[in-house]
Amino acid sequence: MKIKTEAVGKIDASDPPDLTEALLDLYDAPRVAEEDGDIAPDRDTLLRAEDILRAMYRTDPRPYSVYPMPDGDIAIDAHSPQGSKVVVMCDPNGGVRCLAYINGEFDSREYDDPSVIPDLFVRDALNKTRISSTKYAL
Amino acid sequence: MARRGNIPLRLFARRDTRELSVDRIHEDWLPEIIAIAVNYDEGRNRNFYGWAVVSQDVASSNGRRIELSPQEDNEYHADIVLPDSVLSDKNERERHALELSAEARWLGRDS
Repeated sequence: MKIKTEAVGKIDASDPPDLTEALLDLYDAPRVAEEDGDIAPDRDTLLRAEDILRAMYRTDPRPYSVYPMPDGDIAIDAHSPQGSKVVVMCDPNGGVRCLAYINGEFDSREYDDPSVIPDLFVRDALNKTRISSTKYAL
Repeated sequence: MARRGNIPLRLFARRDTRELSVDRIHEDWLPEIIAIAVNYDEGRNRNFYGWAVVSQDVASSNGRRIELSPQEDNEYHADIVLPDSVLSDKNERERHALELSAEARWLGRDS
């Protein structure tokens, strides 16, 4: 594990447990992809995903699931138990998009500049997953 | 795979195919289906923990359809067949994966 983290990124002792767990999943993504016979995400994609994950966590600290997709993409996934989901997808060509499925409605955005994430669209979508959780929990 | 109750999109995303391999599940069949799944995963040197379950209504909506495809060692096998467009349109493929994973619920083998 130490070799992998040094090759991709770095977990700080001050990183919260939720973020540390997501980062470990991110660093493990190439192995998971290869085990499933998928295209493994490359180093640039992992680094871009780490930057976005850290930025999302700073804005909205919560447990994020991070995993590889079959085409070498990395998915950063936030969900509510009631079936709403927000996923930021980093692809091997440098593209980034956000997919939102909130209360049965689909929406998405594509980004040329990943450094703007989490922008208003992502923040609003993340917030709606919390609102839907609260609504159903009452 | 379903950490904190989250079902990853990757379970419903495949490259170069429209077919998502699934098991049909019914409460009355569970012991037999579990035995089949455990046997299948042992053959791949993996442990079977449970299923990401989507309802028949969700699986067969938005252009998707269900095809029964029983196999010699799994009479409960079926495929969720996605529309042709997913082969050429990655966004469309992700959209189906997003909906299916968001609507799915985890059913552990010991539930």
